[in-house]
Amino acid sequence: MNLNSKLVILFLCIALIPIMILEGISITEISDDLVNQKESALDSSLISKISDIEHYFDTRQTQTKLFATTFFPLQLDSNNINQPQTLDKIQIHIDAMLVETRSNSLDNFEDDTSRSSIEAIFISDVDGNILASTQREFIGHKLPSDLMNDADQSKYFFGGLQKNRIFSHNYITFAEDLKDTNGNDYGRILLQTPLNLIDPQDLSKGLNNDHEIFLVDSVSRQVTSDSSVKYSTQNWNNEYNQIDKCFAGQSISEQYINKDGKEVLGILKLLEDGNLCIVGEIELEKVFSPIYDLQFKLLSVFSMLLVGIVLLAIFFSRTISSPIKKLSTTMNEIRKGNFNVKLDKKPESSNNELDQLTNGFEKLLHYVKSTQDNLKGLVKVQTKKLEDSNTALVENMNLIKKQQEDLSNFKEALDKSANVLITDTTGSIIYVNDDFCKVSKFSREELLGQNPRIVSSYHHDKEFFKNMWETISSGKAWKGDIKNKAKDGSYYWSKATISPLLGDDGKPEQYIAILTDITNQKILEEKLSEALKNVKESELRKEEFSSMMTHELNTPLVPIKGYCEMLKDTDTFGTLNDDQLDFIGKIESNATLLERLISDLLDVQKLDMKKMTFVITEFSLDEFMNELEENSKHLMKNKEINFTVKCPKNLILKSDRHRLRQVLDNLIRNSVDFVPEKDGKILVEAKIKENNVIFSVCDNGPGIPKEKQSNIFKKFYQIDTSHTRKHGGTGLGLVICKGIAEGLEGKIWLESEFGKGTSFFICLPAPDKQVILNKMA
Amino acid sequence: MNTIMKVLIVDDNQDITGLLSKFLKAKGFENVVTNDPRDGLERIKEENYDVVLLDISMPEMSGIDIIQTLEREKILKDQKIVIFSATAFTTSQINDLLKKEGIQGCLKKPIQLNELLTAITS
Repeated sequence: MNLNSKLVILFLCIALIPIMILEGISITEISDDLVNQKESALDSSLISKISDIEHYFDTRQTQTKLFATTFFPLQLDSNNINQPQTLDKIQIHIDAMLVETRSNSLDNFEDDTSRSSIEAIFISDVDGNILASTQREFIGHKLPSDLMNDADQSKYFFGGLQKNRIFSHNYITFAEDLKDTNGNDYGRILLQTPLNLIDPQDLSKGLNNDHEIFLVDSVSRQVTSDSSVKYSTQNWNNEYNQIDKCFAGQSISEQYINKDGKEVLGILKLLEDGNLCIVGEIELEKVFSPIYDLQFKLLSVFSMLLVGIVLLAIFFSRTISSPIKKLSTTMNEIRKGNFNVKLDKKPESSNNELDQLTNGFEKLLHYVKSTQDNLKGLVKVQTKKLEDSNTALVENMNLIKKQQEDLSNFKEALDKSANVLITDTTGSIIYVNDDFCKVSKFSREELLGQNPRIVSSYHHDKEFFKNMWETISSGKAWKGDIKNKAKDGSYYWSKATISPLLGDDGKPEQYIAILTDITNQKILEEKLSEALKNVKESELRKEEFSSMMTHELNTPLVPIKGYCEMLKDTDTFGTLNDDQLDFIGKIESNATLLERLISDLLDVQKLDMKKMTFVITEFSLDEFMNELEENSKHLMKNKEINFTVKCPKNLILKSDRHRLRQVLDNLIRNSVDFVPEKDGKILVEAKIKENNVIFSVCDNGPGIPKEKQSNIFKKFYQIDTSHTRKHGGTGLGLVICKGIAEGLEGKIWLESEFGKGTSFFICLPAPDKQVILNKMA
Repeated sequence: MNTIMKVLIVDDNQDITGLLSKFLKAKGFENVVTNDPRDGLERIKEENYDVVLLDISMPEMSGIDIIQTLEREKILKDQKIVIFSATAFTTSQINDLLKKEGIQGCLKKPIQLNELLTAITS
């Protein structure tokens, strides 16, 4: 809202509000006064009317009594009243009476005598049969019951006898009993006067025409008609509560809606005898008409005032606001850069504050103009400098553009080769490439703004992610494999590199995750790991099996071999014959072979599974060789063999003594089997060569053909199957020897020439590990 | 040897204990046999034997359990125990046992009776 409108409204408020309040108060007072005035006028007029009416009724009643007394000279009584000659007399009498009244001044209490006459006179007997009447047609009829009631008391009745209508409300009938000389009733006299005697115009006489007065009887019948329906009675079925209240004895003076639907001020009063109520009503519209006139006049004055005030207000506000508006327009021009606007210069001596403001502004404008001119000079110089640096900038920009292109190419390459996701420092996603959406099966819209947790599979524990966050939030890159969950619930593996993008302050601003889908690789790994687990389990079962077999197979051999030995011990357990001893020997040697077979099989199995264990201890080499020599002798009982053992003295060997012994035993046993029955030669030797210990077992057996030498270390291989029976080996010995030699990080090989014997060599290397060449003092 | 040596044989296999019992008796040793390792442990604790022949693989309570119990009760070093094992010398477990005071030696099953004799008398 601008200043203009505000000022106009302010003026209106200041001028109009008091006037309106004043007007409201005065109108209310005036209307109250008017109502009171009218009310008291109506009241006093009603009071005078009541006295008029009561006086009229009294006069008529007195007249009726007077008429009754005129019958004494006729000497009538209840016996002679029905006599025809008597009836004639009565008829003549009443006709004469009627004529007399019409000429008599008795009725002159009304100004208009034409309306004040008695219309008819009736004479009836005590039972109400009309005996004589000035209107002949009624003779012989019976009086209405209304007119019979209360006959003893001189009374008037609303209603009377009328042609064609026995009973009519258009009359008031006054009745009086007829008495004989003895004072007994013998009949009744009735005077009928028309209702117009209490005409509304009479009732309203002396009042303005703004009100109406009428009479109502006890059953709410309007006795007098109003002006529109003259001389008629109306029954409005108790529409007025006020009438009931009036007949109940209250004096009513209040405003209500009358029978015509108009708002009126009404006064109701009960007449002295209690049979009639007089009602005076003034239409309020008529009462207030002078006020309406006044209001109309006031409104006209207001309108004129309003126009005047508005014009005045507009004039004043223009005076104030137009210079301000001019200033504001000027300021807008200046803001646009137009400094050439001109203000109307006001006289310096003006007392008007607005003029002073305008002048001040004009001065300011002038100052700004001069300052701007100075600036323009400066700007020119600076612009030159700027242009120079712009040229340099353009060169830089080109460089940056090229770098950006490189970067964009790099990004494209990255987008094409990997799934890329970028988050801000709060962890919500701000970028994903198409590949990421494809793998995760989420749309870009679903991912942006979310936490990467949306693809979490809950496969990894809290520690995993804690470690990740700690790494990247400290500014380092994190690498690892992550299992994620796609939108459709399927899982996928990604090899992830998450790097923070550091801001100028060295703190992370964004995190970029570069993910490669490795789901297939992971599936393979999982399958592999499962397969490995199965293999391990089956190996474990195998191990358990071999341990069980060792025990279970060896146990029955104990008594077999034990008893054989006991049987052979003839000194202790008694003698056997040679055949028996031979049999026992065969049982024992076969049991021994079985024992070796079991042992060899288990060893081969251990070697296959790489479960052969070695117990490394330090021992004296020559002691070991002496023991070997002693224990080997019993193998050679059946052959003439030149058995020689050679070894260097005072050497400590660090190796698995029992396994080494097993190898040498095996080789010696083989040699024993293959050397000739006579002149057999076996040489077992230990030698130091460089940092190795080399054991050798040489014999003068048949030798091994070159072509078969490569097979000799294979399982169940024997050179000559026909020889097997004689040899009695398991076919596993050399396999085990090779396994043990290699298990001790050494090697085994042979040198042989067919027909000239065989030499087996075992080399145990690296003295730091297995052999200590320690010359003992 | 003036006094007769008293030998306790603990092995769950009755054939083996039978063999050993007969052999040792014939060789002039007094011997007590039990096939229940718990009974064997009780006997070792209650009586003094010159030699105890102890099988390693026994159900419910192995020879190793017995040796460990004796060691816990600090009476192992008073014993002279020869153990039988089907896998002699090949496990570090057996080797560890042999280092303990009170363990005389280890015989691999099947046992050579003359080796047993040597082990007892040495």
